[in-house]
Parts: sequence; structure tokens; C-alpha cells
Amino acid sequence: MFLQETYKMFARPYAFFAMLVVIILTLLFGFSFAMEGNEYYTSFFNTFNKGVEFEGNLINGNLFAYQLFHALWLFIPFLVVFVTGGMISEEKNEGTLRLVLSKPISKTAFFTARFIAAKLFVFLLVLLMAVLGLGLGLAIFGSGELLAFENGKFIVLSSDEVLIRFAAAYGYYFLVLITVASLSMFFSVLYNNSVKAIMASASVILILYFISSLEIPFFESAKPFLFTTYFSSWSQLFVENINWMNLMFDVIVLVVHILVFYVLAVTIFNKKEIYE
Amino acid sequence: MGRKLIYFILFVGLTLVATIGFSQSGDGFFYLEKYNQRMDSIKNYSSTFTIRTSIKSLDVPDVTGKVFFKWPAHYSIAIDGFAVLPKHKLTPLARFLSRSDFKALMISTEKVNGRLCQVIELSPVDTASLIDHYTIWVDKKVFVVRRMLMIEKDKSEFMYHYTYKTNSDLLPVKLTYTFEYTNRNAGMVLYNQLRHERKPAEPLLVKGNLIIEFQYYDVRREGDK
Repeated sequence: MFLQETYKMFARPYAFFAMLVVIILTLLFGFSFAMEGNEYYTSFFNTFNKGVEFEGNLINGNLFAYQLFHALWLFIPFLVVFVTGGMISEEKNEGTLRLVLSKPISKTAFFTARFIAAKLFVFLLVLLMAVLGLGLGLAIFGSGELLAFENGKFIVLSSDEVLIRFAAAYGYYFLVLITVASLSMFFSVLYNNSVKAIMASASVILILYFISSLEIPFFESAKPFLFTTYFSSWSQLFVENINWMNLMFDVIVLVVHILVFYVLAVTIFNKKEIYE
Repeated sequence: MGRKLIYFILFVGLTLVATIGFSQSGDGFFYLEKYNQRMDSIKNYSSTFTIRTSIKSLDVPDVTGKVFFKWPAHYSIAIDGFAVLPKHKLTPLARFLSRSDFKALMISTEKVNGRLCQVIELSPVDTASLIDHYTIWVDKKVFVVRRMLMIEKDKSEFMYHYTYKTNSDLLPVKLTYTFEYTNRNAGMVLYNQLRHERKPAEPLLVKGNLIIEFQYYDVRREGDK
């Protein structure tokens, strides 16, 4: 069942279009980095060069991958929504869902197989980001220390530990994208129309992220409950002393959201009659 | 008789004042030149060093490297990776301050690490220089620079404090470099390729210190085979 749904997932062109978009964005960014990567370093250099001198070069593949991550992380969730938002509603719209459910499989099993296929797509998307960002970056610009800028401080991370931090950051980001995919599949179950499902998912993410970003006391009490508040926590893996307790909490919150969206989606899917 | 006495007192007084005045300015370079003479006795050495950095708004891991010196003034540094170094890297700045470029004034004597030092102030002859003055503490007995302070005209301060294994050693085992200045043109750039953000340029107080510890080997002195 899972293999069949995975095949269907990638038989549709959307998954490949999403990956193509990531490739194009990476290449465009790579061109920009090659032309202007020095500017990031120059601002760092200008701040400190009166008192100290520097030995070594920080313009390298790790900086490229880090900058790429910062550039893309807010846009990739919308690609995930476009691909996974129509996973159920499109088949309802086309009338093929009734045909599929006429086989001796439970709705829960069917939905779960689709759910896992969506996660596989997200995994491949993150893997593509990592390969293009780190792989291409290291191959073209070489390795070295990473100059990160987090929490108002410049941080130089040694090349030995940078790869591990990137692996953890991509792992956390994978969890963020699964949360997004879970939400969009929930809306895909709610609506019979793919466009409505995608629009609803994208709107929810935009509105909640906007609230998460506002520095207004009125919204402070709501922020811990919004999954978008934890979208950018991956950047905390590039500070000098990582607060693992905070990160674990963020991971748990995302996992809870994934489970809630999954359970809600399965419940509604089971209860809904498929008429078309 | 009274007039002769007055002239005699005036003559002695003026002579004393002139002697003190000239000695204050004239002998200022004496200590530095003795230090340079002692340093010229070292023909080459190799050293491994470790740098610990502590700078506000910048976190850098500890770094090790090597420095090679060949007389008279060739220093080369080898570091695997990225490092933050003091201004003028690891060259002893006091070696390069010459009589023709500076006016020297002997200020006082002070103790540094328990050693009595002559405090000398050097002011650049070139009034267009960015440097306001150097203050150098030279050991009065063994002519070793124990501390050096550089102050620029914008009140930026850069201090080099040398620690030696024994009182008469020429090569320091530790250099503590501290600095403080206001960067009036700094703008911290939150760099995002798709969303350029710049904070407007505002004065930024930058301060910090570097502690560099040295271990020497292959030290060859004048007269060594």
C-alpha cells in the first residue's frame, strides 16, 4: 500500500516541480554568493578590524550552505503545501478516491500510507537542500570555519563540529516541514477542492507566522501554542552553547502538532462519506 | 657681592633645569635601543602558540598555530583555520619605533609584575599620524619591554602586556592584548541574500582581549653554533 502511494506521489509532476524550484533557487543563490559573498564578511571585518587582525578565510562552502538555509527556509514550506495540499482533495475532485477506497483497505490505512508518502517527499526535499547546499558549497568554495550571526553575535564555529550542527539543523527542519505537510493534508481531507485546501494551508501558515513574528505583548501568551513560533529554532544550532532543553521542547511541540493534525485528519476522513 | 650671588644662583638653577629637561627627552630612546640591542642577539626561533579570544559580540574558538622568526625582522605565522590576532599580529611593535619618527619623554618609573620599569612616552613627529602616543614600560635592569600602550587620536586604546618565564628572558611566554575603541562607522549587517537588512550606522563600542601563550623551540642566539 505504501509503495503504491509513494509511486502515485512521484507519478504526479508536482513533486518534481518542487524539487526543480529548489534546484533553480540554489543555483541563483550560488551565483549571487559567488558575486557578493564577500559583503557578509566585509561587514564583520569592518566591525572588528580596527582592534585585531584576521588570519584565514571565512568565505567557504559552510558559509554558502548557512546563507542558503537562511534564504530558503521560509519559502520551502509553501512548496510542501503546494505538493501535499492536493494529496486527498485532488483524488476526491477527480472521482478516483471512491475507486481506491472500494478495495478492501481501511480508510485509516489508506490515509496513513499517503501520509508516509508525503513524509518521504519532504525527506527527499530536505536531502536535496543538504546535498545542494553543503555538497555543492563544499565542492565549489571549499571547507573551513563557519561565520554565523545569531542572537546579535558573530560566532565562528570550527569546521570539525559544523557538519554535525548542519545535520541536526536539517533534521530539525525536516520536522518543521512534516508539520506543514500534516497541516496541508488535514485541509486536503476537509476540502474537496485542491485549490481551497492549498489556499487554506498557506493562509494559516502565513497568518500564524505573522503573529509569531510580532513583538506585541497582546500575542505573547498565544505564541507558545503556535507551531510557526518554532519554525526558525534550527538557527539555535549555530550558537556557541546550544540550549538542548529548549530545542527538545521545540521538537516535542512540533511532534505534538504533527500527531494532532494526523489524528484530526484521520478522524474526519473516516467519518466523511465519499460521494464523488 | 649680592648681585654676583644672584647671578650664580640663577646660573646653577638654569643649568639644573636644562639638564633635567634635556635628560627627560634625550634619554627616552636609551631604554628602547638597549632593548633592541638585546633582541638583535636572537637570530631565529620557532614557537607554537595558543590564542584564547574574548571579544564582545564575537565568539571564536581557541586556536593553535606556529610562528617562525628569522633575524632581523622576518616573522611568518602558520595557522590551520581562522584566527583572530592582535594588531601587527605577533611582531613586537616596540622594535619598530625609531628615533627619527618619534619624540621620547621619560615619564616616571613603575613596577610591572614586580619589576621596576622606566615609563617612556613616544609621540609621533608626524602630526598627521593617527597615533596620539605610545607609552612603553621598559625594565630598568634587563631592558625588556614589559608593557606597551598605544593610544590613537580618537581615544582608542590597545595594550600589550608581556609575561616572561624569568626576569631576564627576552621572549615572552604570554602576551595579553586588550583593546577598546568606538567604531563610529560600524553597521552590523543582518545579512540575508533575499532580504537585505542593515541597521543604520551607529557608534559601536568594541572591546575585548586576546591571551596568547607561547612555547619556544629551536632558539638560536648570536654566538651559537
